[in-house]
Amino acid sequence: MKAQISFVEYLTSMIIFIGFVTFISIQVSSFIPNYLNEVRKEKMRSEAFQLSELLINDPGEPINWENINFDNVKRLGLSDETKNKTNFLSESKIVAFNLNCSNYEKIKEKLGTDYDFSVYLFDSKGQTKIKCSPNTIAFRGINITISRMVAFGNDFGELILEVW
Amino acid sequence: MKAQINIIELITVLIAIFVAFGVLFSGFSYKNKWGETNLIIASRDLILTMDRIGKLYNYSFGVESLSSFLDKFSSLNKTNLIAWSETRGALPQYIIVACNCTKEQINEMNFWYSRLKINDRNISLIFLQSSLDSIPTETDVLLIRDYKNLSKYYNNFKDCLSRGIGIVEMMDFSNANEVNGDEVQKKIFGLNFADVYLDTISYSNLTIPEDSSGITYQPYKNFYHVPLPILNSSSENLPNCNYQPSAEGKIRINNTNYTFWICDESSVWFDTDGDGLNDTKVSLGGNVEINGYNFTLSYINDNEGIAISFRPKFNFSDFLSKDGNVNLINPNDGNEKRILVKAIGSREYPAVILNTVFGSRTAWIPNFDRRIANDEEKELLLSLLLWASKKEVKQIGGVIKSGLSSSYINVKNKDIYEVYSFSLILAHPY
Repeated sequence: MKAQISFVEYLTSMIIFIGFVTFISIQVSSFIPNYLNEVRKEKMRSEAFQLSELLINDPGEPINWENINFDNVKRLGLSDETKNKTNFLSESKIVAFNLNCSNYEKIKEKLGTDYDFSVYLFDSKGQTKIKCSPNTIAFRGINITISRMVAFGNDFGELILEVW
Repeated sequence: MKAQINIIELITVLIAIFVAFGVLFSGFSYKNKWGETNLIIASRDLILTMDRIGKLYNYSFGVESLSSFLDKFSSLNKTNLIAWSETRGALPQYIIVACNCTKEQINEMNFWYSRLKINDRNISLIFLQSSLDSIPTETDVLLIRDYKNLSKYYNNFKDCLSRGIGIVEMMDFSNANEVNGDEVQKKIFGLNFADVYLDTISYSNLTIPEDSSGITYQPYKNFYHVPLPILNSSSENLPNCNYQPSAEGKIRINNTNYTFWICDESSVWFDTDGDGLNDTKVSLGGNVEINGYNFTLSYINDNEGIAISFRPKFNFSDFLSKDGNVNLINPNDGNEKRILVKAIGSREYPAVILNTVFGSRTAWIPNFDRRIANDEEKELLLSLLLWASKKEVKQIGGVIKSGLSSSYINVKNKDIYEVYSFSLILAHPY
């Protein structure tokens, strides 16, 4: 009887031990995909924020890129180099950026990003000043949207950047 | 029985282990601060955008204009963000002046300071009739008019001052005991009644502050920059003026009236020599010399009145002596830097004395209203009230107390140089 009880005790503790191990394994294995997903999101958020900063607070390279051949542009940026103020965009660069959006791949190359993106700029009356996105949009599951408030000329508006 | 006990022990231990594991391994989660970061970026972007379009000053003090600006951003509306703003360091839109005045005195001061405008924004001085026993909690500055013994209010005034409420007293004294026998006059206003002289005051003037940290600097600056509103009292038809009839008012400088006529929205005729005839036409923002003193025409309030700013150097006529007697009242600590105005007779007499006590500001000024008040005296009182008033945070549209804010230092220098901090706070409603 004594030996039987010891066996029951042994069996019970084994079952419990296996239960614990299983429980922890399931928890960890279910968390890892979420964790990786969050890491990818973090990376994408960071990329989206950097892209938005580049667009609104960098004049581009060369700084008067809107006046030269687009093929010779090294980096795009919308900041007005004559004012040199944060969140203040050049109206001529806005127009030039929008015009060159027909060649999305070139825009992507000159923004130096591996992600796909779309950029919209609306003025205070809600009219679209920039509409730039790939011809076919294929989301990869994660997409990040960032909105930035900006001024240009005597007006202001909202730059919405979506990255996926 | 023994086996049963062992099993019970086993189950108990297992439950304890389960509970312990449940606490230790309560599930993995990944937390980030992007939500908060987005709010900070949005509030910073909004402030920068306001500044870039040159509207930051308007939005800092106008709740409706700020609200309509924020409504233009779809991302704020989509996420139901709550926004409110705070300003620090600038004169508030409303300054509550509690005063132990009569109804007539309240009406008189309302008339003196109505349509006050500083740096293009309206400032309302709201005079509340109050007893000195219970001062309204919303008071920004306390004005005490006409002599009374204040000793019994010492603790009350001390409490006010420690809450940031300044005190200005506008009163004459008849004898030394009224000052030296009163704890409030000694400890709060820092006065000492030295002597009485039979003397004639030639003029009085503001002492020029040595540096911006001196106690007299801000009221001195207020006097020479804050535009004094002067309302019209009648009207008259003047040739070559758009306003027919032109509103007519009187500027009273050194006991002499000088007439002005509002010609149109951008120019005013002045009588600069006191003969009652219009002799100098001044454009808005222009300077005019009246009786040898320089003034700037700061505002024209439609056909209702004007606002003028005094320019250095201005000499006051006598507002200290009473019935030929001049009281010599000194700062009781001997600190002459506390004297804002000195009257000059056969000797110098302090005519306005300032003090800082219990963290707030106090000032004594003689009761110039015992005879017809001059405009320079009204300006002097206004300078003291603005200086002594509580400078606190004013919230615009605040509904909840927690959010993420961005601050920005802005400067305005139309009438007076003002540096203030503007904060825009964004928060989620849940």
